[in-house]
Amino acid sequence: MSAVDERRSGPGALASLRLRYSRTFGMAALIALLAFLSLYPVSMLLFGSFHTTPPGVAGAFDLAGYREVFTSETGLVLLNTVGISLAKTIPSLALAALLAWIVARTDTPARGVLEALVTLPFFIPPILTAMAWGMLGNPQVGAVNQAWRWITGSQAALFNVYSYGGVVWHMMQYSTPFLFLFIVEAFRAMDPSLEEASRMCGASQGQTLRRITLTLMLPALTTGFLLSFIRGLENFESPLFFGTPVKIQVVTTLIYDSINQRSVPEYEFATAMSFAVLALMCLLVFWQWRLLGARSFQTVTGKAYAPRLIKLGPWRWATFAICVLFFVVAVVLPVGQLLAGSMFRFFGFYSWDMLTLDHWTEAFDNSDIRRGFLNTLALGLAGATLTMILGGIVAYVSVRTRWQGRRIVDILAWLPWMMPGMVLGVGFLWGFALLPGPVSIYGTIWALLIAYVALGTPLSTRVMSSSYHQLAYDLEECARVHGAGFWRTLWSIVVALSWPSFAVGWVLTFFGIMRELSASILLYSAGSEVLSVVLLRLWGNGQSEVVSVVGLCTMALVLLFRWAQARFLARAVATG
Amino acid sequence: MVEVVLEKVSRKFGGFVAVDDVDLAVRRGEFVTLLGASGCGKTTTLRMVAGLERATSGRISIDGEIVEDAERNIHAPAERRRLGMVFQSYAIWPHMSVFGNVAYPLQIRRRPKAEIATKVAAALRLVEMDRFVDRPATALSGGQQQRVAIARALVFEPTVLLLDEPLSNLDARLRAQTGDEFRALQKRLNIATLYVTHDQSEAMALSDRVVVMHGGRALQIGPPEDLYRRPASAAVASFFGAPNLLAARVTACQRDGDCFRLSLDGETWSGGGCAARDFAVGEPALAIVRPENIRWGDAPSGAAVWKGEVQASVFRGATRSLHIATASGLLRVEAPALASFAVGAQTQFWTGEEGVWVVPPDHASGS
Amino acid sequence: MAAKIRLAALAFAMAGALVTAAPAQAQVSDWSSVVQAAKKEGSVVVYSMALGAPYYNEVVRAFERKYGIKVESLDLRASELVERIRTEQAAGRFIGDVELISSTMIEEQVVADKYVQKFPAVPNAANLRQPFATTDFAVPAYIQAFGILVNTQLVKPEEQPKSWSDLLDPKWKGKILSDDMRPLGSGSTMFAVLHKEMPAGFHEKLARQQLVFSRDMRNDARRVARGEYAFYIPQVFAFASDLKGLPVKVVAPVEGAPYALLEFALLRNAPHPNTARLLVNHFLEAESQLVYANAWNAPVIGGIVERANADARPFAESKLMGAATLAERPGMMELARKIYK
Ligand SMILES: Nc1ncnc2c1ncn2[C@@H]1O[C@H](COP(=O)(O)OP(=O)(O)O)[C@@H](O)[C@H]1O
Ligand SMILES: [Mg+2]
Repeated sequence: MSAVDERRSGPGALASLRLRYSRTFGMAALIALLAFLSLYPVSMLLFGSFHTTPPGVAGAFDLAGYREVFTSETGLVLLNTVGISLAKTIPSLALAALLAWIVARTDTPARGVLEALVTLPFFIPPILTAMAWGMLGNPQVGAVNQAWRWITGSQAALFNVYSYGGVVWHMMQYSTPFLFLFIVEAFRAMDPSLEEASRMCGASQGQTLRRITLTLMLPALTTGFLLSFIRGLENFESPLFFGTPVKIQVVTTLIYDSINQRSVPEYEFATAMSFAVLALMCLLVFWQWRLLGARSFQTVTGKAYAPRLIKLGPWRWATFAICVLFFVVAVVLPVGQLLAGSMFRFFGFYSWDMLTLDHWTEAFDNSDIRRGFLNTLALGLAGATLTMILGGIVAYVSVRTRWQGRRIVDILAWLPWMMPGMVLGVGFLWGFALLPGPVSIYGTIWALLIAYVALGTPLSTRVMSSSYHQLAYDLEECARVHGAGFWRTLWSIVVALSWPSFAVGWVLTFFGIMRELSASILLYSAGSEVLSVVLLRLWGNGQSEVVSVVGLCTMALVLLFRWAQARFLARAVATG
Repeated sequence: MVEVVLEKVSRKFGGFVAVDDVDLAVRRGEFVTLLGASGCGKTTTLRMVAGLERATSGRISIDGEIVEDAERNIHAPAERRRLGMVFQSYAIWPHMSVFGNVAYPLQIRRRPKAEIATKVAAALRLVEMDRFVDRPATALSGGQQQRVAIARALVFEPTVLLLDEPLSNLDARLRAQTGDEFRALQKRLNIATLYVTHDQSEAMALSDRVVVMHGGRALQIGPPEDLYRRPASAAVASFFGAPNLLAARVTACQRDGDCFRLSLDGETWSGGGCAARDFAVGEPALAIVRPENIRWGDAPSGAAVWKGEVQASVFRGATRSLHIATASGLLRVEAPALASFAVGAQTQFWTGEEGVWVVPPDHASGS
Repeated sequence: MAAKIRLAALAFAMAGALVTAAPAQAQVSDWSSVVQAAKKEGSVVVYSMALGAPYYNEVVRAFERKYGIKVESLDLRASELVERIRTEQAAGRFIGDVELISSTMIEEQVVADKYVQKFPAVPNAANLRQPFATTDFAVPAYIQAFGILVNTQLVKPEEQPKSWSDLLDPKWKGKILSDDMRPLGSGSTMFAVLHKEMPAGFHEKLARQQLVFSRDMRNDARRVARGEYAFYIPQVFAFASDLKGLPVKVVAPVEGAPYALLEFALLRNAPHPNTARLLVNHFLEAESQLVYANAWNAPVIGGIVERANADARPFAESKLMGAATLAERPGMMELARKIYK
């Protein structure tokens, strides 16, 4: 029955050949790019962890760094760090899931506005909220404690932010909105019939939430947990600010000490310590791979459905109250403090004669700030876009294909997240400065851009992959069958369907770039000052009020972005 | 002119053989259906034709061009095979309007805007969805989504159309109606169609030819009537209705044109039958007796006769289904609705030679 | 390793002493050619620890106006500055010309790596006041001295400390906020100097006052102003100059003020060595030093204190107690860790 002429196999054969080679080549290029972005700086650090001196200096290989890591003292610090991070990640995740569910799946009043507002704390530089909470919650004259004493007449303080609780609380201010942003789209993109089916089987709303909704959210929830837990291990500002005064040591303060505040900077120990932490984190990532395994979490299917909201009845006022409470405690208190403070000559001294707008005019007149802001804006726009594109591709390869090497791609894209920022910054410095070759990256604005893309890729990849996990394969295969090539399908179907996540990822990355200091300060050059460096300068010169003004403006920018995204961009992609 | 050819196509998932050595050719304008129980490999076969799944062995060609050849490592990507496809889930893109969904294949092909508009309108008119052109895709009922999916698959005028259980999400009435409409459309467009279903009546009503699949193998390929009346095995026969399968022994066999006439000895009965192949005298065989071919009352000579008690009588509107307890086991009979049978009554049932189709007893016969 | 550094530092210190003995005026005759060459170079890159302090910027702007030469400043924190220079030097990327950093850091660079080159003489070095002098590798720029910040609402005028020992009064137990004395920084400088200059057992007694350690000098001073604590040590005088209007007062203790000496050093293979010299010389001009003095820093040349503003003067002329040295640093840091557990 061979109706086919053997010789006519040309075009198909050619196409399949081209496909095979372009895929191999594409994967090789992707791996090479990621290796340069993440493996290269990390391997510089790896060298540093085995070498008595940093790269470029004569020295010898030894294990002194690791030997110091494996002491009981360091072990205790490590345990302490893990404990603090768990203590903040678990409640943050629970709270974020609750808020995401309220905002995305229920008919709670004003949920659109609430959604924008509860995310705000994430975008304020941590040093500012730390200062604000220091003023609110110190046991001697903190505003909250004063109020408590005044109301109750007691002499004791209600709480002291300089404590484990304070460290955890300050971290939660960041991880809750972060996790919320990370998972809210997953909640929104869920086919309600999956939940309805559970209700029909006799499950209560609560059981459905637990057994169906949350289980289907597993990729987003576990990834969020991982990202946030790892961030918790790497958090520096909160323990530095609230922990050191009461002798709470964590891994990052230890690393910071060893680089910045020992007689001789001990890069060998700092990097070895970072790798010990990295090994721990790798275990977690493998755990997640196993957990997600070959299971399917596709909740966005080709059977189109209209998103349906859960009618809470009178309970919607309870959910409303939860959101408002969070907003008041996590946003209004510290931000209000910053806003009020910025109108007075000094933070925390509210008297009529100190009332001034000087800090605001200073912030807008200062040419350093303007230049830093413009530089950062350019880097942020380009960096966030590139990062999201790269993340979109990496996530696609690792989640939605069975191509060889996708695990390598995935782990390479995790790497930069697993290194504490201050150590990775040094890795970039070493890597770019010692990079041989005719074109020099070091000392140019490209070094910053590349570092930002590398630093942002883990998050952008995670954002996109948890969104991809939800898409039914049909949607994509249908486009392929109807003639769309790989890129076209990726863009017009996969990315377009993940667009809300793409936008959230973009905003997270953009503001991540705005805030990045550790790598920036080691890579910027005269003329390419970025905002974070300018803010460090202002802070270092005692102008914390001006820094707050900039921080508040950043928040306004966030709202602007979210508004523009909701209004213009979403529509442009849906119809484009 | 042959549009789609599968030659010894197999697909393994690890050690599990999902599709096993399937040979098939679909001609231009022909409507071929893959029929089989869930899990028998229909979708996998269709996906290999579409280029969404790779064959582990065998060859596939479309329009005379080899698009898949496992031995030579040829695999043309899906988008280069120029096929229309309707997915079981419809795969309507929720982020686009009806227009956006249908226009997509044309936009991919960079057609001018005006042409896209007319073609989309035409395709939607074809499926009677032109009123919904600006609806968001999320605001459609199941039947409407299905029509949009068909319009999308047809809009760029492919020569081959693949459909994976497109009607399974519709209610019975809509299913029959849409099926007929689609068949008419397909004839009008003269498009080669490979259709997947697990529903035998759908397969029979729509198809030029049906491929009966079981355990990844194509058991038999042929026009619906052939498969119904001359199944190659009991397994094939069982796909269509619920035939009575009666063990028997061949007592005589002789050729008559393109078939064989047999005499059979059953447990408590004997009579004539027809078969597609030669049987040796004394060879065990399986007699397939369709319930609707069984009569009652006085039997002519040479007919197979069963006596028994009516155990159940179910009124079905057009027909009446009877369960008869006989000495050879349960006998299903399909009688006209108006015939009346009292439950418990002893009656005689019979069928002539033309009502008995004989196949080998085991399932190993193949095709 | 520490021992090696200590030895080398000793040798270095001795070499420094020798150089100081010889007045550094030898090559001043060809200064105009240095200026010419600098103008040809057209720009200079400074790595500075000052984080863009207004007084630093003011002096730089004056330089730019005076010579029409562009100054590009890179502001970094100490450890970042050192690591950037080290890496750039190791990679053969010679971008920076001159650094402005605390003297011990320069000593360290000289001992460990040779990333700085000998500093050619500059004419204004002749005006340096005692005990400051150029060394082979470094030219003093200004002094950052520390005292005690007092909250005037929590501490009555008659109770205000005049001496470091006044902090030992039991009634201040738990009322003192301090920069952490264990890690490298102003706190550890203060620790080392007080340990050397105060009577034996001073730190042991201070530790019993249950100091609270923190690490953000700017914010910590404000915490004291807001009344969280009664005192902050060590208060950099210059940092207190912009706390005017707050209920705080800076005390320069009678025993003297520990200080950090900020110095210039010329980086190896500096692309603009002449401009670097010119800039350093400019920093030692009387006008430049006056700018520093008026911002409550102590000048390094003579004849400035008298011209300083009235409110700056007490700090510009404050009695200097001493600075920490590189050689004793490891021992001091260990001791601090032991005393302030
Ligand atoms: N990707 C896969 N991996 C493993 N087994 C599969 C895969 N896809 C299908 N199968 C198995 O192959 C068999 C045929 O599947 P399919 O073609 O979808 O059946 P159906 O005839 O119902 O469409 C089933 O048993 C199914 O479990
Ligand atoms: Mg199927």
